[in-house]
Amino acid sequence: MESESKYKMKESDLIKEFLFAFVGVIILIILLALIFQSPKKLPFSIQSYAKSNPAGFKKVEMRNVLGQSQIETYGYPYNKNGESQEIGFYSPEDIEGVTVPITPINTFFITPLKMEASVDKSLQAPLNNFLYLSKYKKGKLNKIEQSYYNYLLSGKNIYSTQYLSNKYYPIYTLVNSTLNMAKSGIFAQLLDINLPGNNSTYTYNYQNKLLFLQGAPIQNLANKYQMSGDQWGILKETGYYPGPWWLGIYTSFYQIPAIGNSPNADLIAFSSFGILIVLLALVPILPFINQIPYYIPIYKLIWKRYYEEKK
Amino acid sequence: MNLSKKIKQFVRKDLDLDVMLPEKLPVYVSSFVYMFGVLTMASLFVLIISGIVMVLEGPLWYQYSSLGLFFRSVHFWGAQVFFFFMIVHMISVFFMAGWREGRFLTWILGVMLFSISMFEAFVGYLLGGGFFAQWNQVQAKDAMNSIGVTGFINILNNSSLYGLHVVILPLVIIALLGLHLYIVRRKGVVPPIDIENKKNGK
Repeated sequence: MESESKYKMKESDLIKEFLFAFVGVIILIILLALIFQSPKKLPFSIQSYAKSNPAGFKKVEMRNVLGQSQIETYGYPYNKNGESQEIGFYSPEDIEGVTVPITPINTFFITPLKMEASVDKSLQAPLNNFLYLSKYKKGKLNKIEQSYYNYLLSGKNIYSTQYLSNKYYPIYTLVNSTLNMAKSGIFAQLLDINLPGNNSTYTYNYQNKLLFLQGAPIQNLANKYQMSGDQWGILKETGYYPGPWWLGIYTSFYQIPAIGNSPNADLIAFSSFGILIVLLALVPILPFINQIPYYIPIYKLIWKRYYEEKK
Repeated sequence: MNLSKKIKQFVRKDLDLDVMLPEKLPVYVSSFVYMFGVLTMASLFVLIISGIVMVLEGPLWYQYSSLGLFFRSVHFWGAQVFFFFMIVHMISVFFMAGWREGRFLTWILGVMLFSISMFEAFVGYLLGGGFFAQWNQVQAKDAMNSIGVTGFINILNNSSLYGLHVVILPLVIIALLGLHLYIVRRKGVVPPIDIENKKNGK
């Protein structure tokens, strides 16, 4: 304020200026909202996936059963089975540890089946058989499971339900039961029910639903909408709507091959972005950078009238 | 120390309305560039008002009813306009070397507002309720997991995101904006660069 008093002053009404700006901005935004509206692509559900791609759903379940899902080997914060991201000795994941424990076979397969078996008695025998074999005869069960997964991967559909049910007992019955549950919509509801606080009226934690869909199911759809990392990435919403384009600076770090292809990509990109923000805050004291405004005289345009009047 | 006395002194001296809301400004402020800060703030007001309406009615309303969808569209385009004005404001302040004459803290607060707003708006996108939200929640969880914060803020848990988006981050933004504006008024609007001594940059 003191510094302003050195200059010639003129009448001003800040409140009126703000109100004019506010009305102008409201009109602009309402026009944009009326003309372009907003993205309408509804969420992807486990139910719609099970209905549109039952074979895909069964493969996802079999990867959960066989311990081949992405979450199985993810590591912290879900389990201890994966490599942590690190930069030298810096690894925040290691400090955090397992804070959101998930065992895919339990969360995505056994828990929903146990709940279903409590109302569908015909499921109890195959489920008990599966749990017994899992515990005492793991080798034998593994052979049946692997063989059924190979059959699913082959894409063949030549045998009768009765034949498959006998040949791949009990896994065939159980996987098809989860598929039927998913088609009805029950499966998704059962996934998150054991999360803390979710076994009540309010269920806002979608962690397990999203983790079930992660990998092939959601990736294929993102590819279709041109939204995966090697396409438009975060810059694009569904349809022709813009995504949060201001985060393009952050996601561009992933486009640098040395970062994007690194097993520590997320930690490096996030840390680099953090450093960039700190540097941005320090621009006023960064040599050379803080001189740019004086060498690219855009300020002469900004204060053109002032300089002319001064002459 | 008498806290009541200190606060009274602060309000009387430092929040003096003649300083905070002057009726006269230096002639150089007539440049249109100064409007971008005001336009950014006006967009923020639109976001706050449309956001309050959306919170009152809840997520199902703004995803599935026509009036709710309209407010969601206002909120969506409000965010686009907000960032457009904010980035133009930042670029113009950079080319005005707006940190001169003791305004470094104003710049730092601006960068803090920019970075927190980026996160706030991204969380808003994750609450949009469409495929984008799901896809980017799944994508962003890897970054959040890599920095070890999932036990504290789980990006797949929409109740955490909702609280962040409608309460915590807006309060931080409003507080920082208040401080930003306060310092802008205390220090005065950045004056034109002195052409004769421009390389000093002081």
